[in-house]
Amino acid sequence: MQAAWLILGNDLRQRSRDRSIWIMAIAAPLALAAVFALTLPDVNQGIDPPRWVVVDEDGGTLANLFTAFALPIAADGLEATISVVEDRAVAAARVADGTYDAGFVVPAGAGDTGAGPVVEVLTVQGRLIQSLVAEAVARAFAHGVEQVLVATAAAEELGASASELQAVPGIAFATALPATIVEVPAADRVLDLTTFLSAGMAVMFLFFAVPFGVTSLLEERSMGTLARLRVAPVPAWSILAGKVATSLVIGVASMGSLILATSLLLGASWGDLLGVASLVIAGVVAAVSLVGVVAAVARTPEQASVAQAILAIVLAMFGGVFFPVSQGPGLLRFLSLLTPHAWFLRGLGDLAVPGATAADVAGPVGMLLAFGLGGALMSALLGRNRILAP
Amino acid sequence: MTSVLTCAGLHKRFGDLEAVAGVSFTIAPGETYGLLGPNGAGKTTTISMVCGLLEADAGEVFVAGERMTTTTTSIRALVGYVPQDIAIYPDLTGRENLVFFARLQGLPRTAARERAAEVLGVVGLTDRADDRSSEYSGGMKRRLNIGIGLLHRPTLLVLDEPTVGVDPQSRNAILASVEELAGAGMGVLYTTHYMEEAERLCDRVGIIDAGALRAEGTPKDLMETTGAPDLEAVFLELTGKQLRD
Repeated sequence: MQAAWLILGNDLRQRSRDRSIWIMAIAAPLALAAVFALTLPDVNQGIDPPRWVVVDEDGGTLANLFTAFALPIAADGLEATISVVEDRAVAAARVADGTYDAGFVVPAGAGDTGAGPVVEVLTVQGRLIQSLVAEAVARAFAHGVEQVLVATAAAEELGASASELQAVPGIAFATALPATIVEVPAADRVLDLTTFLSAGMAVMFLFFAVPFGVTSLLEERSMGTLARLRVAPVPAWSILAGKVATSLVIGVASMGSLILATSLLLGASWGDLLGVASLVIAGVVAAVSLVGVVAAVARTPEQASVAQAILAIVLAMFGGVFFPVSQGPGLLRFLSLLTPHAWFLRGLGDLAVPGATAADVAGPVGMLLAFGLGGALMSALLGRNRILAP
Repeated sequence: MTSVLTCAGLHKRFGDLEAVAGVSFTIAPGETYGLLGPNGAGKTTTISMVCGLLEADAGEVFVAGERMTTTTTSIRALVGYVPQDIAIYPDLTGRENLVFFARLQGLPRTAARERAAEVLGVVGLTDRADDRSSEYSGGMKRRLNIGIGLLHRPTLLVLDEPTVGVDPQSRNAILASVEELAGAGMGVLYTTHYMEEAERLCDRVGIIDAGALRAEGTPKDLMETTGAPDLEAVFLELTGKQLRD
């Protein structure tokens, strides 16, 4: 066992000298988190309150109804900015210069049966989400107006009083606006977006970090030092154990750095510390083991490097790092379960439930360790005659 | 007296190629044995079996009377191995390389440091001990490569073409070190293409070709037997003059 520690210490010293350990365990995770912090600055801040401008060209009650009633309902829960201007051109200019997200014009004669559109929408190309929201609000209002007209006509037919007829629009709009903006509290989500992105990035990065240990066997073979290790009076397994330990240390260090950096820079909430630690260690074991399969079959360090990059990307794709496979077809969802990435993300999702502890991730941790065991067996089977051959 | 090394009927085959076909020889304590042969003759395969890196298909290797296999560990402490290619860690200093391999041989930390300092002196690298070995010249790397094999004072030192590509000064220093080690009772198995080295160092030589020993004896005996004027002529007579891959 002492030989394994010596080999671990020797590997870490070499990785420190060539700076690769500092790059993989600290610099790269910090850089990744910093890039994410710059590109996704408000990803965890929720939805910005909408800023809308309204033009009343009709001068009737419909515009008042839209401004005072329909828009606040649509912006339910958010402090929307709703301004009214006189001129369509002014509104369009304000939307164009970004003062407002979108504009609504209630044209003259709006609401008259068959007179044309009830509300027109002013949007700017490139602001897709704001445009879609504004269009949905306008469609819902138009639908509401139609319902009001139908409801009012029906109430008149039934002999409703004047005060009852006045209440009809409110009742109709209260049930007719399906498009409202609602902020879901983070605690109720399976995994918030920042943490999902951070976790995906971390588990993919792991497959680039851990090869430093196990594939250094290939480098040692090409340098001739593997023969020296094999001639030393130490059991062969201790050489392998030292290399695996190097991968484990680098993997855990890089994951730890990423978790710390994304928590501090992005506000990612990873969940219960013990649960996260269990997932990280199990994930690193799985990654080391699968990378070990590559080391077992590759003939040169260069060949291993290419194969590991392909493995990392393919597993990340099917594991749901780049897009949520849970919303994909059944086959894709099934394939994702064959990757450690999916189980790692699933485990973090389990930890995102309020009050979740390490016990709640026993399933994903077990699956990750199973990947580790499977990879180790496969490595032993494929590389039994050559992984330590000098 | 128990021989330092006994190879008895070694055979090794790689597919259709019989790399070693019944090689047998012994080395006594303090004796330097030269294993000479052209490229592909089976020298390195034989050495790999001697060091426990390869399992023989047939035959046995005994080091100081104990059988060497690919799975035995304790007996390896008796063997010092200097591979043909320079096998050192370029990012580590000469001293760090030596201390690491000394610790791997089982020396405690302090003893490893002391022994590393001694070996640095033996191979003439004391002044550059704390420089990264990647900054060493070819000759210095060769000397460090040899030094690693001496760290644990092995009973048998296996040197596989240790002077390839070094300048005359470094070569002379290496040969002097080997002579000194053999004089101190260490058994040496030495392979080389340089016949003058074999004549200078080796008490006996075995000439191997196509996996089999063609002749064995002292350089003087071989020259007398074949009537050749020097060892190189003996070598060419026994192995032929055709080019080898």
